[in-house]
Amino acid sequence: MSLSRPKRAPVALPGLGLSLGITVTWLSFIALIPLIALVIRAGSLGWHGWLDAISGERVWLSLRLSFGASLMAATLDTLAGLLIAWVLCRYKLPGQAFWDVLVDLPFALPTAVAGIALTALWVPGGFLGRMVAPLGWKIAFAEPGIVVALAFIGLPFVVRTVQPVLQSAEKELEEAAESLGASPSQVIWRVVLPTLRPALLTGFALAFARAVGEYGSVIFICGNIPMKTEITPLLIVSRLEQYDYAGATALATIMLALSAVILALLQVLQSGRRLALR
Amino acid sequence: MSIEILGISKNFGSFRALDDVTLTIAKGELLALLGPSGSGKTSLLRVLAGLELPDVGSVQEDGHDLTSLGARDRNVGLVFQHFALFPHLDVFENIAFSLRVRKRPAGEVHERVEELLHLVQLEGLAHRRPAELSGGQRQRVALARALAARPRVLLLDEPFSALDAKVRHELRGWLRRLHEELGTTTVFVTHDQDEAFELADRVAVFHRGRIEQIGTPDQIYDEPKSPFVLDFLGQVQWLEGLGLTTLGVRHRDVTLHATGDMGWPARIVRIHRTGPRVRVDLELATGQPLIAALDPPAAQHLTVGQEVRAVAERKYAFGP
Repeated sequence: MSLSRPKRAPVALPGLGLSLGITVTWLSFIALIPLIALVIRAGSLGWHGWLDAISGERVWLSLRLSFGASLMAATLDTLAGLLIAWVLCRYKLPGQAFWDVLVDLPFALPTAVAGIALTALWVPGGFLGRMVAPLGWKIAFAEPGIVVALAFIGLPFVVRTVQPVLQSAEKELEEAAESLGASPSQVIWRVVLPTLRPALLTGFALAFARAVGEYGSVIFICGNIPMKTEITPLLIVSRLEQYDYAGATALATIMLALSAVILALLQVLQSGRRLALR
Repeated sequence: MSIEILGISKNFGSFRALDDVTLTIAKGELLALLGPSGSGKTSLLRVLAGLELPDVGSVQEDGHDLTSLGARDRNVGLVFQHFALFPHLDVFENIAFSLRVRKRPAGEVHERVEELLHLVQLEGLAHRRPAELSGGQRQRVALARALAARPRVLLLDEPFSALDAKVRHELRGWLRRLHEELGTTTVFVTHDQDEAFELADRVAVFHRGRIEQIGTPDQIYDEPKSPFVLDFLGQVQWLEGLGLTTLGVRHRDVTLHATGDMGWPARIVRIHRTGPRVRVDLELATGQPLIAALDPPAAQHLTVGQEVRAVAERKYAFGP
């Protein structure tokens, strides 16, 4: 009798064990272990302590602002990103390479710099703030400022996910639709947008995730008025500054949970129609 | 309802895709546009579809000028080389597309799509996505989709080139029968002469943006008008210096004789089987190569190195 390991079916691609091991180890060190540590740390508060730490109007308002502004920014990014990707793919612009690089700039810019620059533009006396002041709009040091900053940070995610899909999209699909009698707007709504849907959802999810976690640019533009323009990450930092580490991690866990739920919903939305067909 | 193409030219940059093409397509006919890639056949199809605007010339249907009419308003059925099915729609909705954009009532759409699914023998697959179909099935969906709005003309761009050989042959016969059943005027583009000859009532051979020759398959095969046509149909050997002009001899027109003094003296260099025929490589006394494609019984007693007489039963000579 020998103790033989069950034979596995041979896999064409070698190194499954090794690559799986590296993937799991790496993800554990950079994501899973820190997140677990976060939950354990928050757990030191006890159930009631945790509930205390995440309740209160100030926390509630900050969460509403953080997630509300992030969803709005991601929506704006999806609309603007689609248009920008479309223009970059379909038209020959003067200085094409320049515009293309410009899209990536929010990736590379330190977010504090972006925050300061946007603030300078949108303060009531600033270049853009002056233009909207007569309309009674207040952008900097108010909620719209936060959406502006988050939209700036998230834009490249949408452009860069939609662009390759648009580029590889068959021109023939549009020609086929046209020859079948579709008007230009029917081509867009019935053919182009549905084929871009998965990429748009991914871009939206990435821009949203990035916006929820954003801190650097927002603190400059929003004015940080408690109960008014205070985002959750800022509340976390202010708790840290008061050496309330457990309270800060408690807030972090609730952000984490909400983000996970929203990203999971997007994931379901993305694969939902295909699953429903099976 | 005949379609007249009058003096059409089309340039892409400095490339002349179509050069003064004039052609009449009769109602109900099945016409093949045959030629190598870049010869202009696909450009002409796209002009007919309204996807390309010619620089010069016009397209007319029963005296009505269609030239500036867009693809949307032409009511032509177009089948693309790679089918271009909508990946996010199932077979039913792909076929229904032209009816949906025309806002036809649901009952009518349903009836017409069922009818077409039956016609292309895909009844059970109405709710599959294109990605779940084989190449031949996709091709038939593309055809059903193109036919849904009862187009006046059916245009097919290399309809079989993305399919494997067996499916290709099956679909050819099926398309021919379908055409006889529906009688829709049909134009298809191909670079495959067998396909053109097997399917079409008439074949137009394209070369450098011009129609080199147009006629029935018999006319094209038996009376090629130019060296290009003869050469493009393939299996031909060009001989120089045996007369005043260059001679074209088809492999299958060469017969070999062990004795006698007909034809040209030649020596057998190589014998090998190619499908239904035997190919014999010869070297003429002048040093020129010649190829004979023989039926297997005729090649039975030949050996490599043997001296024979090669007779060209038919020679093609073209004036300067």
